[in-house]
Amino acid sequence: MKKNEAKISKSVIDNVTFIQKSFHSNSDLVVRSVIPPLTEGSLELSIVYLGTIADKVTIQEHIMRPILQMKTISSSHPIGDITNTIEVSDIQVVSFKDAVIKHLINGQTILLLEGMDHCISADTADWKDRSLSFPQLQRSVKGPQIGFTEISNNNISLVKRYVKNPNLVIEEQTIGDETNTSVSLMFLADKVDSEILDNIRNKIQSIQLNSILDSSYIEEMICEDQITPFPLILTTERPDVTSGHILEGKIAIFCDGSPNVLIAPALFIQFFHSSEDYYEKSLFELSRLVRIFSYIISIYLIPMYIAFTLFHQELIPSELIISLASQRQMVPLPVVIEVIVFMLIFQVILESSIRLPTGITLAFSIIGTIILGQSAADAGLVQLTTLVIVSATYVLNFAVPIQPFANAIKMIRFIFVFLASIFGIYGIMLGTFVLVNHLCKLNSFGAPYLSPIAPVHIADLKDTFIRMPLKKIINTPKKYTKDDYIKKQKNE
Amino acid sequence: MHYKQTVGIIEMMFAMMLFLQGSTIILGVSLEAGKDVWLAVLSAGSAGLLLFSMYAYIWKKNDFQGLHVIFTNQLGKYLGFITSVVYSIYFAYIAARVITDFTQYINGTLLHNMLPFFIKFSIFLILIYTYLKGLEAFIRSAVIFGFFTLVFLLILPFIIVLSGIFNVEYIIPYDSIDVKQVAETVIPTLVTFPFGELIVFLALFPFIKERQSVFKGGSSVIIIFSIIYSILSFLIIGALHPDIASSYTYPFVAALEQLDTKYFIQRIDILAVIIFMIGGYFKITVFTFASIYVAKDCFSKTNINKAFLVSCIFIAIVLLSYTYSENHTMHIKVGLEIVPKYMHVPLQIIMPLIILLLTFVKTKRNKVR
Amino acid sequence: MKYLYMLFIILSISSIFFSQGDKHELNKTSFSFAIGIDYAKGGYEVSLQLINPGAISGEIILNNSPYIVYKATGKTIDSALEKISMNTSRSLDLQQEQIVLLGEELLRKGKIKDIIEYILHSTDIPSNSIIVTTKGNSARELLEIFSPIEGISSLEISNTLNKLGKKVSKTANDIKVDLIDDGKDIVVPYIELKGDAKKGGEKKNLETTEPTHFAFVGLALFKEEKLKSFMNYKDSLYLNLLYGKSSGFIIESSCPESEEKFAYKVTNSLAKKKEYQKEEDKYIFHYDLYLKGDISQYNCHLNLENPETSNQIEKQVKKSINNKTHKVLEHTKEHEMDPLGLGQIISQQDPKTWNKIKGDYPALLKNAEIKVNSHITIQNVGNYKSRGD
Repeated sequence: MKKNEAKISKSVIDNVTFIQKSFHSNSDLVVRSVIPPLTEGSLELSIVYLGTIADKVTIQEHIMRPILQMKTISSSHPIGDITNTIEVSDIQVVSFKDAVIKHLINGQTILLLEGMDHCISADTADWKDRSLSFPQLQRSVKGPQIGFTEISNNNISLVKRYVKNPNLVIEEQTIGDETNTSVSLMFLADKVDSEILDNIRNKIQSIQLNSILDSSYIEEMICEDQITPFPLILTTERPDVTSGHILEGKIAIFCDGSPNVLIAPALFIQFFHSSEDYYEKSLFELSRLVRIFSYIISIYLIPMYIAFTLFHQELIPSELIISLASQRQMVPLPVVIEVIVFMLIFQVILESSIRLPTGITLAFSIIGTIILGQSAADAGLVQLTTLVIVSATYVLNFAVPIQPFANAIKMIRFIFVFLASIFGIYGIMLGTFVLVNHLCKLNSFGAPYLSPIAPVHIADLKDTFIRMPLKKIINTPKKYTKDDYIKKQKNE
Repeated sequence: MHYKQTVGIIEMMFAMMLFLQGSTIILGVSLEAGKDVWLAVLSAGSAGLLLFSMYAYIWKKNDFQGLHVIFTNQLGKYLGFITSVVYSIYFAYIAARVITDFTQYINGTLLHNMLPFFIKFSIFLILIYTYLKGLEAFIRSAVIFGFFTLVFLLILPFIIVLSGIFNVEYIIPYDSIDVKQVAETVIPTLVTFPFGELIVFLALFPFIKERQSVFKGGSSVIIIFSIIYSILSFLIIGALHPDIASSYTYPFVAALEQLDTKYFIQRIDILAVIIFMIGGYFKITVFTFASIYVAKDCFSKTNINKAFLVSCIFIAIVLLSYTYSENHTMHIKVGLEIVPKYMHVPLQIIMPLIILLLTFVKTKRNKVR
Repeated sequence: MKYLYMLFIILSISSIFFSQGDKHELNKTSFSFAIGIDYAKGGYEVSLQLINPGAISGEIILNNSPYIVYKATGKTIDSALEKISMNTSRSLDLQQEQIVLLGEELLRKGKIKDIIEYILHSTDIPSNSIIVTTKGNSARELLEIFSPIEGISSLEISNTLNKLGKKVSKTANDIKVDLIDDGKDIVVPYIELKGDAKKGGEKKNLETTEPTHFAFVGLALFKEEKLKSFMNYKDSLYLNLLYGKSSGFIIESSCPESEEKFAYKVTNSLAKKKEYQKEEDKYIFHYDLYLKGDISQYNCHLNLENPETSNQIEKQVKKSINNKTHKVLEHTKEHEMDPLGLGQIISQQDPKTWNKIKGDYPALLKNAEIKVNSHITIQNVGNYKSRGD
């Protein structure tokens, strides 16, 4: 859409025709002409709104009725008089044509006055919404049980309830030429790193997408300069997590229409953190270590299995190798093919079980698990150990609290399987060198992805593998060493 | 010369630790000293500490610059240029030698039938990848690998002692120290390999952020490593017997093979293999980076394409890894007899001493003025 | 930089086509847990016990024999192994080898050094495999026995030896050390077949209650590189006691007041520094033994509650240890062997004398004498403190 910088005309009819044209005579566009019976002066106005998104009761009770009950109007300041009459809290005076259109889209009601080149816009938006509910993806046993919804304003107010602080700044901007989505940045002005903030702000402004339907669009657009399977932005639907990160000096990105809030910069280790870690007595609990450990094992388990059974049989205890070898006697496929086929089957089962209607899930799980798994082993198509190893891998993978992060290693696992089938353990080590180097090179908006582990930040390690007592971690803000990445971008 | 200072001192310390560990423990050069191996390692470590403080002093007095700048400052433009080129080739050659070590090791312990070419080729690919990712990411990765290596090396002595493969009879009597044998092991082999090889870090130090703490960090790494190294060598001697240990190609692996854990993994020598892979990778990469940086500095004023120069060095490393390494015996013979005497000693000890002297004189003269 | 990335990707893809000589599917390999080496004219007879996993476990247990023994002769061990691999359909995996069984005849011919060197040198046979010798039978015959308990005879042998404690079993490295050391002769544990070898080779052996089976019998003693004599179980234990390597065995001695016997069960033993002393032409070696143990069977009449009694019992135990060690020494003197490493003690403590007597050392053993100073601790006397009568 081209920028229409033209001012609205003084004639109501002209304006109305312009609006009707802009909306292609849309059926929900309501135009109502009103001529209030005045004792003094005269007034002719049109009320325009979109019937589907504006609240008709508000228009009727708080706009129409006061106007119709008006007795006088000053000829010099009709607009001022009307704004004083209307009983709507958020009122703006608009004078540009494109602004009028924009306000209408957002559910506002436009009052066009005859003989005036301004008009009045009153906020009467009434978006359809679901009520607040439990977080769907990131559940927890202890702690707040509230999740974000699709309305950005509600989400912001949820966070504001946690952080009652005048320094909490919200910056709103509209992006997406066709959807006009409002995107808000939220941060603590005294804690946020201004360079990272500028960087994110610029990146969001320079998004060249016509439509934005979910916050993941924004995530993809602002992270596109680094090719990696790992998420560089933390996605959450919990207001307590968002508040916690904002208090650490990070930036939250709210996108209207999406219950997922983006938090940047995100660090590798933070994907292992769950909000519960802060509510439980975590010093004596090893849940974070368990998550990290299971994540790493879920990468290496299958490749190790292949390397051991194909290349380094001398490393397997003798009793175990007898049982492995006896299982393999009548199995037709080579172990690598077997593993890859079953990894793919598991992937398909996961994929289809998510999308299935709830009625069929039971039948599906019977087919998927019993028939496929058990029968394949009984029929001698697959070795039992392979099934155990592959399913253990997927179970371990689910221990990570944030799904996109757990999914990131899907592809990596295949590459490791491939390397292990060529070089054995040596191949796995080669893959590890590449993987670790890749992770070390990554950064999330200037914060090294592996910080505070590499580069080492001893002060920040207090809240890395094990959460130290709150007293020690809450009042000392974390510091992230910044790469010269941002500066480089500026120069380019 | 301007260097982007991006590397933290802790990461660099881990990288130095991995570099020192590199192929040292696996190849067991120290075991020639027999029963007194702990003494040999410790004295080599103290000599290494002296060498390192000399390197750090040279670096500090030359305004924290890279090797090329130090040479041109002290030796003049042309002589400095030649010296830098010599060092660049020297680093490339050592990188190539470690690649050969690495290949022969993988061939000897893990993949007996794999063509050495494929192993060389794959490690070379990783080398290119690492170079493309840059020094910063590489040195950072040292923290992760270094942590695992350190944990393993610290736990290992306990495993060896508790498992009962350590025989006290092999190392008694404790009191008779064969000074001659110790001295023969220490000079020049053990001083130059691995401690003297630390000179390569002079090419990487300019990228460090905390310049003042380099000496402290580096020397603590040397001290910690010497202690671990001496303990491990001592235990290996105790597990294998002084006279036999040095006749193994990979005594460290042989010692761990004696351990019979009988649990999930039958033999833990695979861990030793992994540790060596990490160390070897770090050693190769550090030498490659150093060689490239020195060469880049040399040719910074000429209009030679940088990518061309880098490719040249990579190709040189590949070609060098095929010279004098037709078989293991030849490779080791060259490595133990020729390289220490004719390459390590002049380039690690004599040349730095000359530079030290020149630097000393220059600073004195400046002070007088 | 871009073309370097391209190069990297192309090279990675081309690496898919690398040859794979080290890859062995589990159903394409034959595992062997034990290798037997016997003497054959002009070379070796090598017998390999190959496991048949399908017959041991799995969904459907095959009715085949759990293992097959292949044998071949060759001038070198490797050529014999090559002949074996010609006979089998699968590739041989010797990396799982746990036992190297050496035939008695081979060792009597003094071939142990060659074998040890071969194992240390070989990349296939793991260096921590246990080396055992046989008595009476050849190694091949022993490998052909169906083992009644573990199912696989190689595992049975290794478990039998491991049960006795780590120090009893010897690896190639341990023997090599003994070979190198001056003034110490080799000892190798040996096993013996109890029962009829022919019956043991049939599957029926698994079905009787009195099967032919193995037993760890003792230590085989060497003079220099040749097997000279076998020492029985009990004497071997005392030999091990002097090495400080054995525990969990019974010392039986007679009661202080009568001819009845009691048993002292050693739970923990420690042999301390051996002192060496020269008196005229006699070599006297002092051993300090620290033993901890319980009284198990007690047929004596004295009341164990009395501290005096335990002193007397300790004295009796000391006496029987002295007797037994003396017997061990007599045995070694007879064959002019030195399995105790007495020469080593001299060379460590008095290198000058050692250099002088080195030449005709084993003969000088006649003058050797062992003095054992044992410190006995009785931890437990059991619930019942004295014999009632």
